[in-house]
Amino acid sequence: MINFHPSDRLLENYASAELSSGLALAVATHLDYCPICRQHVEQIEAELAQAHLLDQDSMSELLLAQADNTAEPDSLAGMGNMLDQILQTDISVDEAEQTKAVTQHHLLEVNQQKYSLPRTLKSFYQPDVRWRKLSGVHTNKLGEYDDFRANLLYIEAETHVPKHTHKSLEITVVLAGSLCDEQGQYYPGDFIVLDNSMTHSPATQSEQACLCLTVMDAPVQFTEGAARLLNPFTQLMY
Amino acid sequence: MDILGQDSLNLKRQTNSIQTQMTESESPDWATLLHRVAEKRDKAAYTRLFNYFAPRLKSFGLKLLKQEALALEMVQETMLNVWLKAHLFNPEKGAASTWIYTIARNVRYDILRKISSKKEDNIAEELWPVIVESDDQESEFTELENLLLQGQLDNFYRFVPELQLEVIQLVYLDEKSHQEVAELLEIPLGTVKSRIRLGLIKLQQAMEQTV
Repeated sequence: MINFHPSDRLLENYASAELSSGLALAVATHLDYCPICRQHVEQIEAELAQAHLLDQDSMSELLLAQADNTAEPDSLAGMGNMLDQILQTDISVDEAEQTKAVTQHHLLEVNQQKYSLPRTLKSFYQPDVRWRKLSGVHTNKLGEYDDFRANLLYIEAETHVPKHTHKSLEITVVLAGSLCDEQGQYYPGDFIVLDNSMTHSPATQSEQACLCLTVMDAPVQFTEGAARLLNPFTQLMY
Repeated sequence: MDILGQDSLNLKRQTNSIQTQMTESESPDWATLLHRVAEKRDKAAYTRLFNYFAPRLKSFGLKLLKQEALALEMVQETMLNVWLKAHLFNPEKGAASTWIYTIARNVRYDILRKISSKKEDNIAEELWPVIVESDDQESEFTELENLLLQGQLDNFYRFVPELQLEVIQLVYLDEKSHQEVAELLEIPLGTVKSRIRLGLIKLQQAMEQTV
């Protein structure tokens, strides 16, 4: 039973492609678990498809835009080339991709435990990226997107994460197991938002480790001069 | 920052007349054209889809991405997916235009991700799951799969028919790929997939009955 969901505004912004790709990753992962939010998003998508792709307005706007844009007279010709290119794309390209997907390893392993990732995260996880461990907390970096850093976080059973505040924003989606903090107990699919006004000390219980996705503002990366020496400190886990 | 608030006071759902909108405006039957592309690689059908949707996608892309080149990349990527993956469109789940919109939306996130990812991350070409799968139901079992992998479902194995349990154990405990299991047991890949699915449903039912 999922108790913590993204706000309606967040779902709307996800559906309309207005989120940063980091936040979108967290929302899409929640949707893999939550049929209620999925249904809501599907409804919004149908409305948006209507507005952007079907309504006559969207076309007249487009024609206006093209009329204004006389500097690019061949933009539709460019689309003609595009059509030819696509029609020449062999379907076997797609079949090769499918075979690759079938042979791809489908499980994640950490601390001698195996997990199956939700659909959204399967393609983001790179098995060759090393897990880093700090007193019962293991992290695996998925990537940095639009100033957000996405990590997989594995917390061993009976582990207390030291109390901490977030620089500005952290979203956690529980993937497996269970986690609790001052606000409550979280289960797979739960979507937890924390900002810099909140401190928390998450913990796992006995015999129940927790795997989650965290998306947070990426720490500053220094690329020049003496400030580079500070990088090890900005790359701590939180 | 208030879009991140988790209370649902700010909801303004406009659920008015979505159903009617969806049926009345799909006047050229886009779903049928998609079906023809999937079944016969029908270039004429695809061309009609392209001529209608590509300019609209470009206009949508310009609004979102602001740059002509990026908008065109979004159109190309989206329409290529429509050509290659038309067989994944499921008309029972929604309108053709919604399916195409969703692909475009995911392509947009993929483009954003590529722009912002650092080069040294050495990422694959396309990571965002662009396609809305119709036949692949695997995500509904993620929670169950994880309980299974953690050994928390051993008590329920007795509720699963032998043939299904065999395949489930090979896939989840011995970590064989579906293809490897098919070869090992000399059964078709489709049978492997359906045995897994039926077995997982059995496990889920057994578990729910005891909770």
